[in-house]
Amino acid sequence: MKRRIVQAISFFITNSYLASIPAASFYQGPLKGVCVPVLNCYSCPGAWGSCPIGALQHFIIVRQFPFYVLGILGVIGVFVGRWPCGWLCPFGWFQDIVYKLKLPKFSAPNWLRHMKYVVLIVLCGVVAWVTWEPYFCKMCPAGTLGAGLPWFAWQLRGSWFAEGMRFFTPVFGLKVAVLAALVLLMGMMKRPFCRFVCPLGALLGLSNKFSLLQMEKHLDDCAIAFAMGSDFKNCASCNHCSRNCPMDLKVPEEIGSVDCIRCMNCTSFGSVYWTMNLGEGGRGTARERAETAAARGAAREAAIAEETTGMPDAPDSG
Amino acid sequence: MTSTARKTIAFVIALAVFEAFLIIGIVTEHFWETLSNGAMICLSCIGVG
Repeated sequence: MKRRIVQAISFFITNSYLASIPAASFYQGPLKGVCVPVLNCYSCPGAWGSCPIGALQHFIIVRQFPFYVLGILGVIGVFVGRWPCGWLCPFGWFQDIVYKLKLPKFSAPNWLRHMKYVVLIVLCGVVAWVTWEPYFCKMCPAGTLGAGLPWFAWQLRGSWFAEGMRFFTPVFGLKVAVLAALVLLMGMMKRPFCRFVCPLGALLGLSNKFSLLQMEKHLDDCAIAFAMGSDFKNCASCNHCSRNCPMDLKVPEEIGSVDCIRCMNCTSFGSVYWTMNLGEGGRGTARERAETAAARGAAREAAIAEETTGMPDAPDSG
Repeated sequence: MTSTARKTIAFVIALAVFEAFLIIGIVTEHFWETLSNGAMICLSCIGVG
Protein backbone atom coordinates (compact mmCIF):
# COMPACT_ATOMS: atom_id res chain seq x y z
CA MET A 1 0.00 0.00 0.00
CA LYS A 2 2.84 2.36 0.88
CA ARG A 3 4.41 1.67 -2.51
CA ARG A 4 1.15 2.45 -4.31
CA ILE A 5 1.02 5.84 -2.58
CA VAL A 6 4.64 6.61 -3.52
CA GLN A 7 3.95 5.54 -7.13
CA ALA A 8 0.89 7.80 -7.28
CA ILE A 9 2.79 10.76 -5.80
CA SER A 10 5.65 10.19 -8.24
CA PHE A 11 3.21 10.17 -11.16
CA PHE A 12 1.60 13.43 -10.10
CA ILE A 13 4.94 15.14 -9.41
CA THR A 14 6.48 14.21 -12.76
CA ASN A 15 3.28 14.96 -14.72
CA SER A 16 1.82 17.98 -12.98
CA TYR A 17 2.26 20.65 -15.67
CA LEU A 18 -1.46 21.37 -15.90
CA ALA A 19 -1.04 24.49 -18.06
CA SER A 20 -0.62 22.15 -21.00
CA ILE A 21 -4.28 21.13 -20.94
CA PRO A 22 -5.91 24.39 -22.08
CA ALA A 23 -2.93 25.24 -24.29
CA ALA A 24 -2.82 21.82 -26.00
CA SER A 25 0.94 21.92 -25.71
CA PHE A 26 3.60 20.68 -23.34
CA TYR A 27 6.23 22.12 -21.02
CA GLN A 28 9.50 23.19 -22.72
CA GLY A 29 11.21 25.12 -19.93
CA PRO A 30 14.60 24.51 -18.31
CA LEU A 31 13.42 21.55 -16.22
CA LYS A 32 13.02 19.62 -19.47
CA GLY A 33 16.80 19.39 -19.41
CA VAL A 34 16.58 17.01 -16.47
CA CYS A 35 16.17 13.32 -17.23
CA VAL A 36 13.85 11.56 -14.80
CA PRO A 37 14.93 8.01 -13.83
CA VAL A 38 11.67 6.55 -15.16
CA LEU A 39 10.02 5.93 -18.52
CA ASN A 40 8.02 9.15 -18.76
CA CYS A 41 7.72 10.49 -22.31
CA TYR A 42 9.23 13.91 -23.10
CA SER A 43 6.02 14.71 -24.98
CA CYS A 44 3.59 13.74 -22.20
CA PRO A 45 1.38 16.82 -21.76
CA GLY A 46 2.10 17.14 -18.05
CA ALA A 47 5.75 16.08 -18.06
CA TRP A 48 8.28 18.40 -16.44
CA GLY A 49 11.34 16.32 -17.35
CA SER A 50 12.78 14.22 -20.15
CA CYS A 51 12.70 10.48 -20.71
CA PRO A 52 16.27 9.16 -20.40
CA ILE A 53 15.76 6.65 -23.22
CA GLY A 54 14.51 9.35 -25.57
CA ALA A 55 17.48 11.49 -24.56
CA LEU A 56 19.87 8.56 -25.03
CA GLN A 57 18.68 8.04 -28.60
CA HIS A 58 18.78 11.78 -29.21
CA PHE A 59 22.45 11.99 -28.24
CA ILE A 60 23.28 8.92 -30.34
CA ILE A 61 21.53 10.48 -33.33
CA VAL A 62 23.44 13.76 -32.95
CA ARG A 63 26.65 11.69 -32.63
CA GLN A 64 27.51 12.63 -29.05
CA PHE A 65 28.50 10.12 -26.41
CA PRO A 66 25.58 10.21 -23.93
CA PHE A 67 27.70 11.24 -20.94
CA TYR A 68 24.83 13.15 -19.36
CA VAL A 69 22.23 10.37 -19.60
CA LEU A 70 24.62 7.65 -18.43
CA GLY A 71 25.90 9.94 -15.67
CA ILE A 72 22.47 10.74 -14.25
CA LEU A 73 21.31 7.11 -14.44
CA GLY A 74 24.63 5.86 -13.08
CA VAL A 75 24.60 8.17 -10.05
CA ILE A 76 21.03 7.11 -9.22
CA GLY A 77 21.84 3.45 -9.90
CA VAL A 78 24.95 3.51 -7.70
CA PHE A 79 22.80 4.47 -4.73
CA VAL A 80 19.54 2.56 -5.23
CA GLY A 81 19.93 0.26 -8.25
CA ARG A 82 16.63 -0.46 -9.97
CA TRP A 83 14.55 0.97 -7.12
CA PRO A 84 12.94 3.71 -9.30
CA CYS A 85 11.32 0.96 -11.44
CA GLY A 86 9.46 -0.37 -8.43
CA TRP A 87 8.58 2.87 -6.66
CA LEU A 88 8.61 5.77 -9.12
CA CYS A 89 7.89 4.62 -12.68
CA PRO A 90 4.37 5.58 -13.84
CA PHE A 91 4.34 2.83 -16.46
CA GLY A 92 5.32 0.24 -13.86
CA TRP A 93 2.47 1.51 -11.68
CA PHE A 94 0.10 1.16 -14.64
CA GLN A 95 1.24 -2.45 -15.17
CA ASP A 96 0.78 -3.27 -11.47
CA ILE A 97 -2.80 -1.96 -11.66
CA VAL A 98 -3.69 -3.78 -14.89
CA TYR A 99 -2.39 -7.08 -13.47
CA LYS A 100 -5.14 -6.89 -10.86
CA LEU A 101 -7.77 -7.47 -13.58
CA LYS A 102 -9.52 -10.82 -13.39
CA LEU A 103 -7.85 -12.46 -16.38
CA PRO A 104 -6.14 -15.84 -16.74
CA LYS A 105 -2.59 -15.60 -15.40
CA PHE A 106 0.49 -16.98 -17.15
CA SER A 107 4.22 -17.19 -16.60
CA ALA A 108 6.74 -16.54 -19.34
CA PRO A 109 10.04 -18.31 -20.00
CA ASN A 110 13.02 -16.76 -18.25
CA TRP A 111 15.10 -16.36 -21.41
CA LEU A 112 12.73 -13.63 -22.60
CA ARG A 113 14.25 -11.35 -19.94
CA HIS A 114 17.37 -11.03 -22.11
CA MET A 115 15.31 -9.37 -24.81
CA LYS A 116 15.51 -6.00 -23.05
CA TYR A 117 19.27 -5.90 -23.64
CA VAL A 118 18.66 -6.51 -27.35
CA VAL A 119 16.15 -3.64 -27.33
CA LEU A 120 18.68 -1.41 -25.54
CA ILE A 121 21.67 -2.21 -27.76
CA VAL A 122 20.02 -2.80 -31.13
CA LEU A 123 16.92 -0.59 -31.14
CA CYS A 124 18.09 2.28 -28.94
CA GLY A 125 21.75 2.13 -30.01
CA VAL A 126 22.51 0.63 -33.41
CA VAL A 127 19.22 1.48 -35.14
CA ALA A 128 19.24 5.06 -33.82
CA TRP A 129 22.85 5.46 -35.04
CA VAL A 130 22.20 4.00 -38.50
CA THR A 131 18.78 5.50 -39.28
CA TRP A 132 19.08 8.82 -37.42
CA GLU A 133 15.62 8.14 -36.02
CA PRO A 134 14.52 7.24 -32.45
CA TYR A 135 12.68 4.07 -33.42
CA PHE A 136 12.19 2.93 -29.85
CA CYS A 137 10.19 6.13 -29.18
CA LYS A 138 8.12 5.48 -32.29
CA MET A 139 6.92 2.20 -30.83
CA CYS A 140 7.17 2.92 -27.10
CA PRO A 141 3.86 1.92 -25.45
CA ALA A 142 4.53 4.24 -22.50
CA GLY A 143 4.82 7.10 -25.00
CA THR A 144 1.62 6.04 -26.75
CA LEU A 145 -0.26 5.97 -23.46
CA GLY A 146 1.19 9.12 -21.95
CA ALA A 147 1.72 11.28 -25.04
CA GLY A 148 0.25 9.76 -28.21
CA LEU A 149 -3.31 9.32 -26.95
CA PRO A 150 -3.55 12.78 -25.30
CA TRP A 151 -2.14 14.44 -28.42
CA PHE A 152 -4.62 12.53 -30.57
CA ALA A 153 -7.45 13.60 -28.25
CA TRP A 154 -6.30 17.21 -28.73
CA GLN A 155 -6.49 16.78 -32.49
CA LEU A 156 -10.09 15.59 -32.16
CA ARG A 157 -11.05 18.47 -29.92
CA GLY A 158 -13.15 21.14 -31.61
CA SER A 159 -13.36 19.34 -34.92
CA TRP A 160 -15.70 16.88 -36.52
CA PHE A 161 -14.86 13.30 -35.63
CA ALA A 162 -14.22 12.34 -39.25
CA GLU A 163 -11.95 15.34 -39.67
CA GLY A 164 -10.03 14.51 -36.53
CA MET A 165 -9.63 10.89 -37.55
CA ARG A 166 -7.30 11.89 -40.38
CA PHE A 167 -4.70 12.25 -37.64
CA PHE A 168 -5.08 8.53 -36.98
CA THR A 169 -2.07 7.72 -39.15
CA PRO A 170 -0.90 4.16 -39.90
CA VAL A 171 2.06 4.69 -37.53
CA PHE A 172 -0.30 5.81 -34.78
CA GLY A 173 -2.58 2.84 -35.50
CA LEU A 174 0.39 0.49 -35.12
CA LYS A 175 1.40 2.15 -31.84
CA VAL A 176 -2.12 1.80 -30.48
CA ALA A 177 -2.18 -1.87 -31.53
CA VAL A 178 1.14 -2.51 -29.76
CA LEU A 179 -0.17 -0.79 -26.63
CA ALA A 180 -3.45 -2.75 -26.73
CA ALA A 181 -1.61 -6.07 -27.09
CA LEU A 182 0.70 -5.14 -24.23
CA VAL A 183 -2.19 -4.09 -21.98
CA LEU A 184 -3.76 -7.50 -22.58
CA LEU A 185 -0.45 -9.14 -21.65
CA MET A 186 -0.18 -6.94 -18.56
CA GLY A 187 -3.46 -8.34 -17.34
CA MET A 188 -2.18 -11.89 -17.77
CA MET A 189 1.43 -11.70 -16.61
CA LYS A 190 3.43 -9.59 -14.20
CA ARG A 191 5.02 -6.44 -15.64
CA PRO A 192 5.77 -7.86 -19.14
CA PHE A 193 7.18 -4.55 -20.39
CA CYS A 194 9.58 -4.13 -17.45
CA ARG A 195 10.74 -7.73 -17.61
CA PHE A 196 11.18 -8.24 -21.34
CA VAL A 197 11.37 -4.89 -23.13
CA CYS A 198 12.31 -1.88 -20.99
CA PRO A 199 15.78 -0.57 -21.99
CA LEU A 200 15.80 1.77 -18.98
CA GLY A 201 15.28 -1.19 -16.65
CA ALA A 202 18.11 -2.98 -18.48
CA LEU A 203 20.45 -0.04 -17.81
CA LEU A 204 19.44 0.55 -14.19
CA GLY A 205 19.43 -3.19 -13.47
CA LEU A 206 23.15 -3.43 -14.20
CA SER A 207 23.79 -1.24 -11.17
CA ASN A 208 21.90 -3.66 -8.91
CA LYS A 209 25.13 -5.60 -8.56
CA PHE A 210 27.10 -2.80 -6.92
CA SER A 211 24.48 -0.36 -5.65
CA LEU A 212 24.42 0.88 -2.09
CA LEU A 213 20.91 -0.49 -1.57
CA GLN A 214 21.02 -4.29 -1.64
CA MET A 215 18.63 -7.12 -0.88
CA GLU A 216 19.86 -9.92 1.33
CA LYS A 217 18.22 -13.25 2.10
CA HIS A 218 18.30 -15.06 5.41
CA LEU A 219 16.00 -18.01 4.94
CA ASP A 220 16.51 -19.11 8.53
CA ASP A 221 14.50 -16.04 9.57
CA CYS A 222 11.50 -16.83 7.34
CA ALA A 223 8.30 -16.25 9.32
CA ILE A 224 6.29 -18.53 7.03
CA ALA A 225 8.76 -21.40 7.40
CA PHE A 226 8.69 -20.83 11.14
CA ALA A 227 4.88 -20.89 11.23
CA MET A 228 4.82 -24.03 9.07
CA GLY A 229 7.23 -25.72 11.43
CA SER A 230 9.68 -26.55 8.64
CA ASP A 231 13.36 -27.22 9.28
CA PHE A 232 14.46 -23.94 10.76
CA LYS A 233 17.56 -23.71 8.62
CA ASN A 234 15.77 -24.24 5.31
CA CYS A 235 13.28 -22.55 3.04
CA ALA A 236 9.87 -24.18 3.30
CA SER A 237 9.45 -23.78 -0.49
CA CYS A 238 6.02 -22.25 0.10
CA ASN A 239 6.78 -19.62 -2.60
CA HIS A 240 4.96 -16.88 -0.69
CA CYS A 241 7.77 -14.44 -1.40
CA SER A 242 8.00 -15.42 -5.09
CA ARG A 243 4.25 -15.16 -5.60
CA ASN A 244 4.36 -11.61 -4.25
CA CYS A 245 7.23 -10.55 -6.51
CA PRO A 246 5.95 -8.17 -9.24
CA MET A 247 8.85 -9.24 -11.47
CA ASP A 248 8.03 -12.94 -11.12
CA LEU A 249 11.47 -13.73 -9.66
CA LYS A 250 12.14 -16.93 -7.77
CA VAL A 251 13.01 -14.92 -4.69
CA PRO A 252 15.21 -17.32 -2.71
CA GLU A 253 17.50 -17.89 -5.74
CA GLU A 254 17.19 -14.59 -7.60
CA ILE A 255 17.02 -12.01 -4.87
CA GLY A 256 19.26 -9.08 -5.76
CA SER A 257 19.50 -10.06 -9.43
CA VAL A 258 19.55 -7.46 -12.21
CA ASP A 259 15.78 -7.89 -12.53
CA CYS A 260 15.00 -7.07 -8.89
CA ILE A 261 13.19 -3.70 -8.70
CA ARG A 262 13.60 -3.36 -4.92
CA CYS A 263 9.84 -3.15 -4.37
CA MET A 264 10.34 -4.66 -0.90
CA ASN A 265 7.29 -6.94 -1.22
CA CYS A 266 9.41 -9.95 -0.26
CA THR A 267 10.68 -8.26 2.90
CA SER A 268 7.31 -8.73 4.62
CA PHE A 269 7.99 -12.45 5.17
CA GLY A 270 11.05 -11.96 7.30
CA SER A 271 13.53 -13.90 5.16
CA VAL A 272 14.61 -11.01 2.91
CA TYR A 273 16.03 -7.73 4.15
CA TRP A 274 17.17 -4.55 2.50
CA THR A 275 20.67 -3.61 3.52
CA MET A 276 23.15 -0.89 2.85
CA ASN A 277 25.97 -2.47 0.92
CA LEU A 278 28.67 -0.82 2.99
CA GLY A 279 27.61 -2.25 6.31
CA GLU A 280 25.18 -4.56 8.02
CA GLY A 281 22.15 -2.51 7.01
CA GLY A 282 18.56 -2.74 8.07
CA ARG A 283 18.50 -5.92 10.13
CA GLY A 284 21.10 -5.41 12.78
CA THR A 285 24.57 -6.80 13.20
CA ALA A 286 25.48 -10.43 12.56
CA ARG A 287 25.64 -10.97 16.31
CA GLU A 288 22.15 -9.53 16.83
CA ARG A 289 20.84 -11.73 14.04
CA ALA A 290 22.42 -14.81 15.57
CA GLU A 291 20.92 -13.96 18.93
CA THR A 292 17.47 -13.45 17.40
CA ALA A 293 17.69 -16.74 15.50
CA ALA A 294 18.84 -18.56 18.65
CA ALA A 295 15.98 -17.07 20.66
CA ARG A 296 13.45 -18.09 18.03
CA GLY A 297 14.98 -21.57 17.79
CA ALA A 298 14.78 -21.94 21.57
CA ALA A 299 11.16 -20.76 21.54
CA ARG A 300 10.31 -23.33 18.93
CA GLU A 301 12.11 -26.11 20.80
CA ALA A 302 10.14 -25.15 23.92
CA ALA A 303 6.88 -25.20 21.97
CA ILE A 304 7.66 -28.70 20.62
CA ALA A 305 8.58 -29.94 24.09
CA GLU A 306 5.37 -28.51 25.50
CA GLU A 307 3.34 -30.20 22.79
CA THR A 308 5.08 -33.55 23.38
CA THR A 309 5.03 -33.65 27.17
CA GLY A 310 2.11 -31.35 27.87
CA MET A 311 4.42 -29.42 30.20
CA PRO A 312 6.60 -26.44 29.48
CA ASP A 313 10.34 -27.02 29.81
CA ALA A 314 11.68 -26.17 33.20
CA PRO A 315 14.16 -23.31 33.05
CA ASP A 316 17.79 -24.20 33.61
CA SER A 317 18.66 -23.91 37.25
CA GLY A 318 22.39 -23.65 36.70
CA MET B 1 40.81 -6.81 2.57
CA THR B 2 37.38 -7.30 4.09
CA SER B 3 34.20 -7.63 2.09
CA THR B 4 32.92 -4.30 3.40
CA ALA B 5 36.14 -2.57 2.35
CA ARG B 6 35.92 -4.07 -1.15
CA LYS B 7 32.30 -2.97 -1.49
CA THR B 8 33.16 0.51 -0.25
CA ILE B 9 35.94 0.86 -2.82
CA ALA B 10 33.70 -0.42 -5.65
CA PHE B 11 30.95 2.00 -4.61
CA VAL B 12 33.28 4.99 -4.43
CA ILE B 13 34.87 4.21 -7.82
CA ALA B 14 31.48 3.73 -9.50
CA LEU B 15 30.15 6.93 -7.97
CA ALA B 16 33.23 8.88 -9.06
CA VAL B 17 33.00 7.55 -12.63
CA PHE B 18 29.31 8.35 -13.04
CA GLU B 19 29.66 11.77 -11.41
CA ALA B 20 32.47 12.48 -13.88
CA PHE B 21 30.15 11.40 -16.72
CA LEU B 22 27.46 13.72 -15.40
CA ILE B 23 29.82 16.69 -15.13
CA ILE B 24 31.31 16.07 -18.58
CA GLY B 25 27.79 15.78 -19.96
CA ILE B 26 26.66 19.03 -18.37
CA VAL B 27 29.76 20.91 -19.50
CA THR B 28 30.10 19.59 -23.03
CA GLU B 29 26.71 18.51 -24.26
CA HIS B 30 24.79 21.72 -23.59
CA PHE B 31 21.96 19.52 -22.54
CA TRP B 32 19.95 22.43 -21.15
CA GLU B 33 19.58 23.88 -24.60
CA THR B 34 19.33 20.53 -26.36
CA LEU B 35 16.65 18.98 -24.22
CA SER B 36 14.69 22.02 -23.18
CA ASN B 37 14.27 23.88 -26.47
CA GLY B 38 11.97 21.26 -27.91
CA ALA B 39 14.64 19.83 -30.21
CA MET B 40 13.69 16.34 -29.17
CA ILE B 41 10.00 16.74 -29.77
CA CYS B 42 8.86 15.10 -32.90
CA LEU B 43 5.20 14.51 -33.42
CA SER B 44 5.99 11.76 -35.89
CA CYS B 45 7.56 9.89 -32.96
CA ILE B 46 4.28 9.87 -31.11
CA GLY B 47 2.56 9.08 -34.37
CA VAL B 48 0.11 11.94 -34.49
CA GLY B 49 -0.11 14.36 -37.40
